[in-house]
Amino acid sequence: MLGDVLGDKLYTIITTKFNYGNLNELRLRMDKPIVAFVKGQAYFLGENGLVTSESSALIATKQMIEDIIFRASEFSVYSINEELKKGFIVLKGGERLGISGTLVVENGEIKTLNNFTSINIRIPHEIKNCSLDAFSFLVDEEGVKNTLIISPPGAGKTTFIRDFVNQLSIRNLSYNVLIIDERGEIAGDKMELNVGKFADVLSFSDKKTGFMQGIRAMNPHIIVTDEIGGEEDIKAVKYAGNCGVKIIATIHAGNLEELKAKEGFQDLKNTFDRYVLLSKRNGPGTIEGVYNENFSRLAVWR
Amino acid sequence: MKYFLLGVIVFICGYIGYGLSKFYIARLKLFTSLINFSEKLDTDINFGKAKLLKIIEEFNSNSKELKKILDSYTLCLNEGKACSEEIFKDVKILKDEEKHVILCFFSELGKLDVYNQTKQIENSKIKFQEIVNSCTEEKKKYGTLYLKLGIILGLLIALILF
Repeated sequence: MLGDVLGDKLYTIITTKFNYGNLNELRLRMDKPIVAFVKGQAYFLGENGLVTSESSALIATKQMIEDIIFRASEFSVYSINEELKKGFIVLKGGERLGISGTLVVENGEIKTLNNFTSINIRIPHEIKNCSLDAFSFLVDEEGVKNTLIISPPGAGKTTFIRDFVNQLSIRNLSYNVLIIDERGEIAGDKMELNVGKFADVLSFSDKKTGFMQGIRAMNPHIIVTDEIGGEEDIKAVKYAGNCGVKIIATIHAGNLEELKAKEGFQDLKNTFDRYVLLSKRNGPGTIEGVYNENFSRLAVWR
Repeated sequence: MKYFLLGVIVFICGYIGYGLSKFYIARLKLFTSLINFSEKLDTDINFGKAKLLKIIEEFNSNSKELKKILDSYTLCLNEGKACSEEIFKDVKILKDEEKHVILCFFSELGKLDVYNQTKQIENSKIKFQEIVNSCTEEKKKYGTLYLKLGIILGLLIALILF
């Protein structure tokens, strides 16, 4: 699918000139060099692959950006207005296209986004067993622990929870898992990404609606969700906790101190039994440590 | 035998006349179908937000020429090419300024939000309607004229030969 969207030239470069499996992100900014994030490191993208010199980099044109969005919308930009209002489109392979341009706002309400100037393409990768080192700390004979995965952006939180759900399935731990996939990044647009055989997916729903609806409709043992943050998210997580549903969630923070300082975190502190801290130190998905509810380190990796 | 040959001459001349008049009918059909296509686009985009390729696929054109244009346009989209004069490669009945109007219409299709796309379609429809009006005039003027001239010419040749 990404091939259909990027066009032959860009797609050939990213799939033949270096290891596509290591590509995390591609950024196209109008009249600026194209930047590729590979294993968490930024490079420029040139005709022959990754380059460090700006002069050899390919320049993203307005036409290039518009063409990518046109193709991503299946030649029908008018049909993706709701996605544009949110600022991103999810492709069939689970790749997410973040878009910026001019927001059209009327009476405080976003009407649409046009005059596109930048795209940020995040490429999900299935990294088999990436959650395995932490797995035994998150699941014991009593069941799955309420777990919060912490990392800065692009450090593998989503990949971690996707693999974790799959690990439960591999071990035939037949918990009913409900994935509240607000941006279609955990399971992909149409469940193309591997989340095992016991997972139900509620896609493109905000957390408040998703948690309420999901608990009522699917009777899950575990709810998995990405990037909790706002007040509504915290309420939704607490609601699930009160319903006896276990939570596996992720949150943006560079370290535990940053996490503790986050607005609203105090309300969630008693919800989680385990914290997993990830970083990009050895590439995205590096597990820095697993902590218990008192933030005492249970395990550390070097 | 002689009468048969004379009959053939009249028929051939009449057929040539009919061929020339068909040119005007085909032009009128093409632009009338373009208006119908615009109306379908307008409805499907506003009410169903249907994808462009699906709308094209579902559109039943009664103009062979428009069908050729839509096929070439779909091919351009699928091959990731920019919409160009290539979409007219199998269509020989259009004037340059008409090609320009149709090309502008297709170049903007699918690239705008609902509000602006609807406006663009409305504007194009007005231009198509103007062309339909002039095509109707042309057809009235020349459509039957060529057929009649063809038959008269055939009869004239037959008379001379007789």
